[in-house]
Amino acid sequence: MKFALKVWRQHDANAAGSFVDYEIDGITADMSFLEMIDAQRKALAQG
Amino acid sequence: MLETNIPSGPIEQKWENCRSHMMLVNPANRRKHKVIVVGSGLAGAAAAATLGQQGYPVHNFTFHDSPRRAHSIAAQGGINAAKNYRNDGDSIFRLFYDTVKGGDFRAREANVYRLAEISVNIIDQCVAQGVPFAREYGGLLDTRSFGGVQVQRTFYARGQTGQQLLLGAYQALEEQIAAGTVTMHTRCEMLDVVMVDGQARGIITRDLRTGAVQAHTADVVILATGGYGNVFYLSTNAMNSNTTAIWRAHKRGAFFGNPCFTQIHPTCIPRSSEHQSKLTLMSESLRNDGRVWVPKKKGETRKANQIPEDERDYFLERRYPSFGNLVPRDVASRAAKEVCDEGYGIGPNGTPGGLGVYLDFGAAIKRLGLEAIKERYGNLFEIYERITGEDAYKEPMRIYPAVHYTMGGLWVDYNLMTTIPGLFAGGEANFSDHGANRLGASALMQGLADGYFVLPATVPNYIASNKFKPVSETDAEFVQALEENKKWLQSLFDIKGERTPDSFHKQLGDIMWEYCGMARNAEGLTKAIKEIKDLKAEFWKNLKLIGKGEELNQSLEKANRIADFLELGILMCTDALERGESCGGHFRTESQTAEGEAMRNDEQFAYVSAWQWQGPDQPEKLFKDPLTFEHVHLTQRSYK
Repeated sequence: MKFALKVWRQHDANAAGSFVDYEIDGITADMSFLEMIDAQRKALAQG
Repeated sequence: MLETNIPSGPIEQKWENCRSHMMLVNPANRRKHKVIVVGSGLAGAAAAATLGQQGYPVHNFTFHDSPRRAHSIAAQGGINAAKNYRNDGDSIFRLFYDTVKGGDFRAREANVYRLAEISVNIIDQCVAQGVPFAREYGGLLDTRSFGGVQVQRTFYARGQTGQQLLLGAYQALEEQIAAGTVTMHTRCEMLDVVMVDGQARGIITRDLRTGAVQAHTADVVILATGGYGNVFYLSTNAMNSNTTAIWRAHKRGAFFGNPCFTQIHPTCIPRSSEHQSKLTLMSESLRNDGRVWVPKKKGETRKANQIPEDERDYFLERRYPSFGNLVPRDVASRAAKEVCDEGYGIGPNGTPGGLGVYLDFGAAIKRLGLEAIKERYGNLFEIYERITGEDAYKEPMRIYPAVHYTMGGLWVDYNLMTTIPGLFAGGEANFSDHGANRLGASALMQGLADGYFVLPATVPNYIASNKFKPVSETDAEFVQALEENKKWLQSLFDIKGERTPDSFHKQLGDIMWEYCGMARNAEGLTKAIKEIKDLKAEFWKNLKLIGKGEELNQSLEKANRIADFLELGILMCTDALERGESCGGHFRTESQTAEGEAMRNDEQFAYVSAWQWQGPDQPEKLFKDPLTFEHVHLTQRSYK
């Protein structure tokens, strides 16, 4: 499955944050929401 | 030579005599001796609260945002105590005997006897705190059975005993925080122990919010930082649980005891996909009423409920008629692995050939009624349904073994002091009481025994019998340790490679599970050591970190911990290779009986392995702490 995510990104407590759009593919029905976020995080970390 | 400091005299009197003759610190002098406690789970919170109450200024560190987040909270099933409320033949001796036998005769008799003795006080202590243990209709405390024993001695609070006990310890801790005796440092991860003149005199921490690396002085340091099961990547431990505190202490000179003794718990929810980052335990208490089975026919495609009784193989009841579904964890896990390896396992939706076995409550629901089962295990069935989407009241649960607990840990003497003077270890962080396999409901017992009763006696004794020169954070030892740790963290950033910390962790976990998991042999372990060494070399060449050190940085937190897991993995495999016998959770395929059960070798291996760090990339040195048994007859464990 493909999901469109709107993630609130904020560098630290003093920074102004904003929503950032991401698209993530390959999410299966048995994955939890947190596992989906993990997968997105992994994709970001790998750059 | 290792000095165990086990008191002389008859086993029933050792602890009482020892306690009665320990040196005391005058109440007016206690405030002059600062104590650091790292970890705020059952052992840490209990020790910090109790020492605070005695009048010592205690500084308690946790990497969580609140002590209430400590992983003890996840313990489900219960806590053992030799109260014999059931009058079913229990006694302190029997709890002692069951624990030594359950640990496959690889624990110290004196320590375990003390644990059994103290178990009785723990229940009183917790009831006094208001812990809502389950009660019978008449108001008396209820108990239930657990694996590896034939009496009902497990006190429980539904399937959330750890949570209720932790709340009790947390209240005690909060009371001391409010009284000003305990200072709480949350989101602070320990990086190092600072030694002055051969004594542990403080720690180095990193503030996870700001990245600040700081030094803290004390007269005593207690590590209650839990187990290292996450070396396997996938385990039932919380994602943050790690080995860093005890590993850094190890590198400063604390011996590591029995690193290869790992518990693989039989009843966990099977892994669903490669994305999974943690596993979920289903309490062993479920085996009280659940029956474990697989279809007799390989490639069975029918759903569980459609398979008639005579076409099911209740393999634990078949192989172990006297203990049945309540054999110890190591035995149940291996049996489940074997049937799955033979191809009888069940995958998602009852597909054949998967990694899972059924845990069936059908018979218990018929016998006791749905309400009774809901009362006993309601929240566990709910957890199961939320994760798998299946209703275990209607169809059997599917379970598979997973890494759950580490019996190994820092080597400690009878006083729970490591080989570094002034550095103590309590709870899962030490190796002390469970031998090669821990019985269910004994972790909570040990954590609280260490925290409420043992450390509050032995730590003051250490303080009273030693001299402490004044130290400050500006002393050379602290400044140097601070610099070393800052450099270490910077060196992780300096690698500037391509691979994320997680990818190394996952690969390490795969190696550990394959070669140092439920079945081990010389060939596999030798291979694993080489593979982990190669992986470690790659880690230091090809790690990619994002962000900076001086801010919240989970990437750095992970990398810092994984660097230690890699070294620990090598030691675990080295220890498993050296121990050429099977015992408890350590199953060497070369050492089994004709029936495929673990075969100990008491002549060669009746000792605790205590490993000493020799420097980076150097083989560690093994010291043997011999085990002698005067009260328990060494037998090949049999649960048939």
